[in-house]
Amino acid sequence: MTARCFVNSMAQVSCRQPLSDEWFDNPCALTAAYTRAQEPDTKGLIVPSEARRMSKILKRAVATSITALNNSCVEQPDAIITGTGMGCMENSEKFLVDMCRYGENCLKPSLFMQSTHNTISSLIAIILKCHGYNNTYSHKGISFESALLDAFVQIKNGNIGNALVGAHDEVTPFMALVMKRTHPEYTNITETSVSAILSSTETDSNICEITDVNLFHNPEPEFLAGILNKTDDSLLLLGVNGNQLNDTPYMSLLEKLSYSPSTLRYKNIFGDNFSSPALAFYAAATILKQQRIPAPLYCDTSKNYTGKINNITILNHCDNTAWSLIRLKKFDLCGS
Amino acid sequence: MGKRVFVTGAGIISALGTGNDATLKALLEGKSGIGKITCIDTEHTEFPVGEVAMSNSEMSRILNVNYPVNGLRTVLLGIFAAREALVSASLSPELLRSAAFISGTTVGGMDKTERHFKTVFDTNVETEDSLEMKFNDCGYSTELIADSLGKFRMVTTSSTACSSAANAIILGANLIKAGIVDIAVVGGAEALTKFHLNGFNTLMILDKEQCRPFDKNRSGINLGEGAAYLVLESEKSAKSREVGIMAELSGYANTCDAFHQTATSENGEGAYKAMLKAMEMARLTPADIDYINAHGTGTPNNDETELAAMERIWTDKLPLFSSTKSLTGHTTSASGSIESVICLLALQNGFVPGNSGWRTPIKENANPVVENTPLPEIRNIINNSFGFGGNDSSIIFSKYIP
Repeated sequence: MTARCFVNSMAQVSCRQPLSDEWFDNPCALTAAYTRAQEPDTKGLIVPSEARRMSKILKRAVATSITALNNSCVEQPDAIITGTGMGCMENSEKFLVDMCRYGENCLKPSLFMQSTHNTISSLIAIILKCHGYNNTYSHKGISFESALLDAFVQIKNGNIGNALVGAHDEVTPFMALVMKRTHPEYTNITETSVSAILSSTETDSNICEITDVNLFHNPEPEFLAGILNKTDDSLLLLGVNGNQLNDTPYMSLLEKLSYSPSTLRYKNIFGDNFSSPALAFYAAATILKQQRIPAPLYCDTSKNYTGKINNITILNHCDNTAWSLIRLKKFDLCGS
Repeated sequence: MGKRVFVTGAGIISALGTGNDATLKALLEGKSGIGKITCIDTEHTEFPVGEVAMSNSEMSRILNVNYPVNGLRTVLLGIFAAREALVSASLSPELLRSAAFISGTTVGGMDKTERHFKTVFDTNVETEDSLEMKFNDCGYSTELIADSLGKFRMVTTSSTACSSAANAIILGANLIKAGIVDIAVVGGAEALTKFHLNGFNTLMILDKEQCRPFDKNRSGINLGEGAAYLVLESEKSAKSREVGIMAELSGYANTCDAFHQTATSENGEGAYKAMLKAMEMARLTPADIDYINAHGTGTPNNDETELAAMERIWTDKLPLFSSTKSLTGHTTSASGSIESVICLLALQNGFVPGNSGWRTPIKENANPVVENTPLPEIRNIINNSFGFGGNDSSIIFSKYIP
């Protein structure tokens, strides 16, 4: 575990302007209970005849992956690792609807072929002709962090020099109705596609450094607080969304801290879905690069952070069972 | 590299039976678990499958579990196998608190979803049925299995179709080598569903007879179900606990064929690279490999290209190889761990399991082992698991040498 792991480039598709950092200067809060992603212009990114055959999640995933790759120092990734909570939901749903409507004898193979969770990672590999390591994690709200952990460990131990890591979740209108029932802790249901190039190479185009990735299952607030108290992480980016069902575990944790951090949020801008922690990662990396924090991201605007932004710690949970902790550090060439 | 990873426990359930002992007995008798489909409500009863011969309610009663576990077949199967793995590795609740649980599945709670979907979609979302759809996602299944075992430090799910369990094994080994955990319970669970039975049928790759991997006249897959878990452990932890070491996980690799979502490249590029890289990690040469438990699904495409990949590595003579899918069925996401446990049984008991149902050679010098063959000196086994999207994983188990 001697190599360092940098974020070299990133791209996002969400409810904000796609493939852009425009939201950073123009961060407005979400109000609708369900907001679909703004579709990216795929011209120049995906061959039009191929784009027509792709479902929404596949188009977004390829668009963010190719954009991140084009803007990076990497030509061909050593690994493609994806997180997706629900996988290719649109195609799975269509297959289920067809099975209900028309029975079991005239179903479409194309829907099934593009319904598995790893369709996304495979499609990117096929387009890039990338024979490297290819894996997909599908674990609720820590799917992205699981993919990140895999890449982080392999880059640190020198197994791979770089990786294309992504998190993608689409929410169909039908599933949004279901999720309002199954996930009452959500405030604004949205969709996410984030791709990032991670690399062990020190180059001035790096956005930030990843110094820690951790997954926890059913941790006690005291246990998590113990980890934070050890290092006094002064800037915490939390998955709070204003809904008590979701926020209480974060509050219990904050109460246990022996210091007073500045707390940031992102779900008021980007909403909730299984892949939304990837947008927290993207937002934190952008803050470290830009060295400023958009005002709506503060949980408490009276506690603005004034110091140099050196580190951000991201904490997310799903159902208060699956927790993740990511530490990002400002990147300085020839310094550490 | 450097750090060694050992297997110190294993558990399994499949059409061959429940547990290591029942599985070994069925393997030695060459008994196939393929039979008529009973556990799912489908018109397609013409396709034989490898079912676990217990209903959900029977399993729930034996395991003493209630709602929602009793309605999730993947979870029930997973609990059977994982409990056995923990017992065989003598894992105490204290040890679990610093351990990882990583499970592979793609089906997850799809069996529950397909039972409730029509009501929710056609009538009203405001019904109890919609609440049942919470369990559709893979992560819930994994957490329910993990929580039935004890309190793990971390839990996650790999989902790469038919190589899911193999990739869970790979992540577990990488976490141990990185020093993040000393113990990882890894594997996969998958129940049969109407969804993927129909899915595979649309691809026209299901066989109406018992499947015949590596047979010239093979015509497809028999789907199966089951679960299996391994306990992986660092050398330091295994030695300090003085636990029995079943085998060393000496090498592994995952690569991508990067050719097509459901077909493999003609020369089996992904499979070729996966086997080579796994041998490289294990510091083994092709001559060191005593047996390959092939992916061998029985589809014309898979078996031909897997054979082509093997022939690129073993240019003179292929090692002993067989597919055990005509015994268990293709257990999709669980196949990587189910066949890993079969490899461990072969390694510990000195034999090569036969490729049941095989009759006609594809060509000269490419015949699988058909009957169980004693091989007391068996040392190194490659287990192949290939998934949709050309997701190719090879794992090597070696006899433990201190």
